[in-house]
Amino acid sequence: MSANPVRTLLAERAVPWMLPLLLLGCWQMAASSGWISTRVAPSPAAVAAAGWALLADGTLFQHLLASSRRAVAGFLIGGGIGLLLGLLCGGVRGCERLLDTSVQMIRNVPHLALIPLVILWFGIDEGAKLFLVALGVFFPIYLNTFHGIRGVDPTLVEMGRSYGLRGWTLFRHVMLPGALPSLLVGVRFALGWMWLTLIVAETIAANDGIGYLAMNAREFMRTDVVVLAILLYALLGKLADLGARGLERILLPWRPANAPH
Amino acid sequence: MNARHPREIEIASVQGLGLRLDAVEKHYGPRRVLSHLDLHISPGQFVAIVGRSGCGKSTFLRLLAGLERPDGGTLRFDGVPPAYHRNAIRLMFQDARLLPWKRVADNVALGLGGGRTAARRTALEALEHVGLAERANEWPGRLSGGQRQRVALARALVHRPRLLLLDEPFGALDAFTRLEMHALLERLWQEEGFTAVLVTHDVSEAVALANRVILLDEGSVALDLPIEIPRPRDRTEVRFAELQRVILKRVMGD
Repeated sequence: MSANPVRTLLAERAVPWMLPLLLLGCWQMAASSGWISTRVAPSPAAVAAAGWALLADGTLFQHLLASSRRAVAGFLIGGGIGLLLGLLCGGVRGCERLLDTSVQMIRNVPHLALIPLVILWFGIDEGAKLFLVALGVFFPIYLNTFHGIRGVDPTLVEMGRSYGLRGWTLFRHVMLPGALPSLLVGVRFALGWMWLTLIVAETIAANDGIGYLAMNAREFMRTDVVVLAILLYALLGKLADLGARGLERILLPWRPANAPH
Repeated sequence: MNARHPREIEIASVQGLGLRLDAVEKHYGPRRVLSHLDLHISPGQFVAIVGRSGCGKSTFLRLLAGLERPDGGTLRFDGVPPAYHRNAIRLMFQDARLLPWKRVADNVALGLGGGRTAARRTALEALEHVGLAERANEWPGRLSGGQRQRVALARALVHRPRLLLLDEPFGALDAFTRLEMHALLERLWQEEGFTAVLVTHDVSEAVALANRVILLDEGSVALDLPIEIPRPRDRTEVRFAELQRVILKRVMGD
C-alpha cells in the first residue's frame, strides 16, 4: 500500500501518541474556557509553567535528587539482602527450612501497614523511608531469586557435576546464569514497589523529595505542582522500567528476544 | 591408518580404560534393576548395550558414570574404583545439555583448567574435530539438533577421556544426521583410542559401531555378541543383516 517506508515508520510511531495528545488538547480547552475550576485541575499549560519555574530555581532538581537517592539506597539495601537470602535458601536446603516460613509470613503483611510502627522506631528521619523502601524491594527480589535457583534445569546441573564442576564453579557457570532470567523479573517488580513505597513514605513525612513537593503544594492549593509531581513519578517509573529492560538485554544476550536483530 | 607413522598415532592417542564389573546389583526400592551383573570390557573396546526400555541399560551407564552407586558387587576401572578415574570419564546425554547462556566454544571449554585463552584454544581444536569451528561464537539456541550433539561430543572429547559413555546420544536426530554422527564417532574413536560404551535402542546403530553388542534383559546379560565385520562397515552387507537379525530376534524374545 504505502510505498514510502519512512512515512510508514512515522505513522507507526505517531499513532500511539494520538489519543494522549487529543485528551491533552481537550483538557487544555476545558481548563482555559473555565469549564473545570483550577482548584480541581490545573491546565496543562499551568503544569508546564510550574515545571519550568521549579526547574529554573533549582528546587525541582533538588527534590528529584533527594527522591532518587532514597530510591537507590533503599533498593540496594533491600535488594542486596533479598538476593543474598534468596541465593542461600535456593541453594541450601537447611537454610530454606530455617527461614522460608518466616519470610512467607512477613510477606503477607502489607509493608505499608508497618508505617505507624516504623515512625515509632525511626521517627520521621531518612531511616524510616529507607527501611520501608528496602522492605518493599526485598520480597520480589528474594522470591524470584529463590525460585530462579530452584528452577535451574536439573539435567544441566547433573551435566555440570559430571563434567567436574563443584561448589563455586558450578554456581558461577550453571546455577547463577540459570537463575538470572527469574532474578531480573524480580528486579522489575522490585522497581515498581520501590517507587510506590517511596511515594507513600515521602507523602507522610519528609523535608524534601517529590512526595514532599506534592504535599507542600497541596497546602497552598497549588494543583499545578501536585499534578507535576504525579507526572514526575510516572516518568521516573518509566525510566526505571527502561533500565531494567536494558539490563536484561545486556545480561541475557543468549535469549532470542534479546538478539541484536 | 598411515603405515609409515604408527608410533606417532600411538603417542597421540590415549589408552582406554579397562572395566571390570563383578556381581553388580542395583535396586530402586523393591524393583531390581541390575542383578548380579558380571562384565569385563577391555581397554579401547567399543561396546554397545541394547535392550528394551526398562532393561536397566541406562542405569548401567549411570553406574559407570558415577551418577549412581551400586547396591552390591564391585566396579573396577583399571583395577581401582571408578572414583579414581573421575576426570578420565565423560558422558554424552541423549539431549545435548549445552548451557544456553554460553557460546559454543565456552560450552566446549566447560571444566577445562589452565587459563581462559589456553582453554579456548583447546576448545576450538575440538570444535574443528567435529567440523563446527566456524560456529564457535554462536549461541547454542541457534544450532540444529545434530550440530548441538556434535558440540556435546566435542565437549566430551576435549578432556581426552579414557572412557566415553554415550546414552542414546543420536536417538532424537533424523536418519541422515544420525549416519553422519556415526561416521564422526567411529573416526574419533579410532583416532583417540578411548573405551566407548554406547547405550542404544537402535540395533543397526549397535552393529554399525561396536566391536561387541551386549543385550541386557531384566538386569542381566542375555546375549554377548562380538561383531567382527571389518571397518568401514557396509550396512547392506549380508553379515551385517544377519547379525542384526540375530540380535533383534533375541530382543523380541525369540
